[in-house]
Amino acid sequence: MAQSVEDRQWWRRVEEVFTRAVDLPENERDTYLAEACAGDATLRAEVESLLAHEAASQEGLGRVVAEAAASCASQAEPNPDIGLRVGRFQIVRELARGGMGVVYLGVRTDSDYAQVVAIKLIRSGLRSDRFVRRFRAERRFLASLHHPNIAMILDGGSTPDGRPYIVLEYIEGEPITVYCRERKLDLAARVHLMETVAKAVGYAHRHRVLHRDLKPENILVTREEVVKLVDFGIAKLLEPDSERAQQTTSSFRFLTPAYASPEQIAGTPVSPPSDVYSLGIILYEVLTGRHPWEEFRSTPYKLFVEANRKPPPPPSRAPGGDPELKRRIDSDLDKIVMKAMARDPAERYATAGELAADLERWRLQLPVSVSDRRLFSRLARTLKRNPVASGAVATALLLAASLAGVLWRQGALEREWRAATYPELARARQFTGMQLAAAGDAAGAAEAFADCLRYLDQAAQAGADASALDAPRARCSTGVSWAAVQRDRPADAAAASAQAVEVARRTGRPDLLAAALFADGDARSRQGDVAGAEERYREACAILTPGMDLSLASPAPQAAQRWLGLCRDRGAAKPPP
Amino acid sequence: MAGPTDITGLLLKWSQGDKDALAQLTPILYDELRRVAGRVVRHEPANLTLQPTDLVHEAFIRLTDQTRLTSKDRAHFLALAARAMRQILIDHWRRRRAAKRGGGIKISLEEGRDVAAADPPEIIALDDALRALEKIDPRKAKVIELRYFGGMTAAEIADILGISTATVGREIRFAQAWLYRELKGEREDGGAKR
Repeated sequence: MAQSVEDRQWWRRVEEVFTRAVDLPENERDTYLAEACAGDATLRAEVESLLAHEAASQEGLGRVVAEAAASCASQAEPNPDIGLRVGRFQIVRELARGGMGVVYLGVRTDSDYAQVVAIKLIRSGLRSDRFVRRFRAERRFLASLHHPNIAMILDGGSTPDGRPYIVLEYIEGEPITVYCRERKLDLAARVHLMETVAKAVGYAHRHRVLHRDLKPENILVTREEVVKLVDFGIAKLLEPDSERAQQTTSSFRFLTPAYASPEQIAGTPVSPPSDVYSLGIILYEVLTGRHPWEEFRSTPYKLFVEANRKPPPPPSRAPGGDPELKRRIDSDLDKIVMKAMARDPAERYATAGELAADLERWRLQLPVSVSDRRLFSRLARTLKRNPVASGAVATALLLAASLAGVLWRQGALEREWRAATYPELARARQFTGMQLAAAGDAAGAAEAFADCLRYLDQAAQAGADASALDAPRARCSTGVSWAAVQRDRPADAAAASAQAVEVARRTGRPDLLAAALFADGDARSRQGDVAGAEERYREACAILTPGMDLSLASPAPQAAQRWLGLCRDRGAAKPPP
Repeated sequence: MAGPTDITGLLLKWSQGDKDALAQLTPILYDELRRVAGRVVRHEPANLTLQPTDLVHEAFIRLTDQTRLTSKDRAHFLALAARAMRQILIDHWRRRRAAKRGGGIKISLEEGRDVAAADPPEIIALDDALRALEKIDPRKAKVIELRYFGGMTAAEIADILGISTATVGREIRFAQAWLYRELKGEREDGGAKR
């Protein structure tokens, strides 16, 4: 259907009149249309009919698309995997679907002994032979996990058509959040359950196994009130190959955005505190009946931005949730939860075992590690409350001694993992800073970029390769400077950008240097140093080559756009090379 | 079976003009979007505010290593996802229709009524209207696709199409009104014929 010239002209005219009219107040539209259409009744009727549909159009179209998406998603399709044989087992029916794939109920087929198992068929880009090799290598570690609260891994392999699978002990239970809600458990019982969970995770941490995907659906409670953690260590089996991962940390990453730590979402290596973070979020939800960012649950991207913006209110002041539960949450319990889910991994409990220890002390009304009250005044209060003085003193002193021991071990563990992960933490904060900057949150971005620099300092102190730290330092200093300009703090901006320029020169990377120079130019211009700013801009533009991409070097897309624009304006003045 | 799928790498190749990369990327993205949509709805069956655009953003976070991508790569991803999302929604309806006609598949009274009530669903009318718009003014159709199926901001759309943000705003407004009128008109005509 070729369009004639007349058609195109008519379309342009309709658009033009519509665009002018739509912004006019109702009472001026008539006058305008009468004049613009000047006797062309067809044109006027067309524009008026479009104007009549304009008000409802955005919502109307949005609704059509949203309904179609909801209908599409709720559609069940017949599943060809039912009846499939995998190893010694046969798939019977679907139990659940998750990020990694589908979980089925299965039975053992090679004996009369009717063993019921859970079979996880994994949806993955990972090649099945590699998966099988890795499973064999890892099963030694996974098999070393013998704990009453951790579900056993029974087998693993690949299906005839090459999909990896894992066979697990089948647990009939409900997710911990559902269990607590339906049984209407009181606060103490909930803390006790989570203490059991944290102890089991702590046990695995001591065996050098991380869970990596803790969420209520992986923490089941059986009818006999036995807690079982499922999927321990499975996420690791499915990671991209380590030799590849060093060049590219991409490929599929299995994580649950509502419970994954910021550093996991940023794609940096995980450590015990990453599991602690997930436990913190689950703890918050179990204690209050509400996820800390409930309103963003179904929109993970917003949730990620929000979780990086600021901590949620402590559980006792959670908006919504169960008032009866919240009333009983005291400041110590608040602090335990908030420490576990701190955005900064260095501020969390170093291992799940330490979180468990604090929950236990809280439950026994003993001083917790995060309490701001003096240890001995708390001890005194405990003793006063407890009439069986001698026994209580002995217990309390024992616990105080074990607390000191825990703190000592915590110090050693923290040093160990921090030394290895400071550069990664810096990278995670830099990534967060860029996300927040792109979302227009200059204050949040400033904080993230400043954190990045702090981590880089600590990485340097811990003996990391100094030359590898220059590029991130240049980026984050540029970020700090840019954010300070946005927040009208030119002196801070100038200090940061001066450092950015100095470091960027050392890296020999033109994009980093150009971005740093632009930031320095902005800072100088804000300070009233017009000549200095101009000199910087000129140098930056001279470095830029056609097609150079500033977006990895600049703190936000809007910054890169503006800076490139500065050079376009200067383009005419630039001498040919 | 393909080796470990490096989505980010494919995306980078594609943005450098590698057509094969696109062919490899599309089914992965398609699959991921369907899966994410399913999870969201299962999690909150009553969630009627589910927006495909949120799904696209989640797919982006899950599938790519954002620290390696420029904002232009991100825009490319979203544009591709917008196209895939539109296709998914249309295919879904086609499959439902095929299932309804297909022999041997029994449909309960209630399901049958459900299919009939949604026939033809508004999403098909919207797709038809978008095709019509593509013929008259392809750029406006693209702007709407990126906006409604890809959840891109006006600035991102401006960037990828090489026009100003203000132009994008104007085009969205006009195209929205036009499409909505087409949609309403078709419904009203259809009603009158019955």
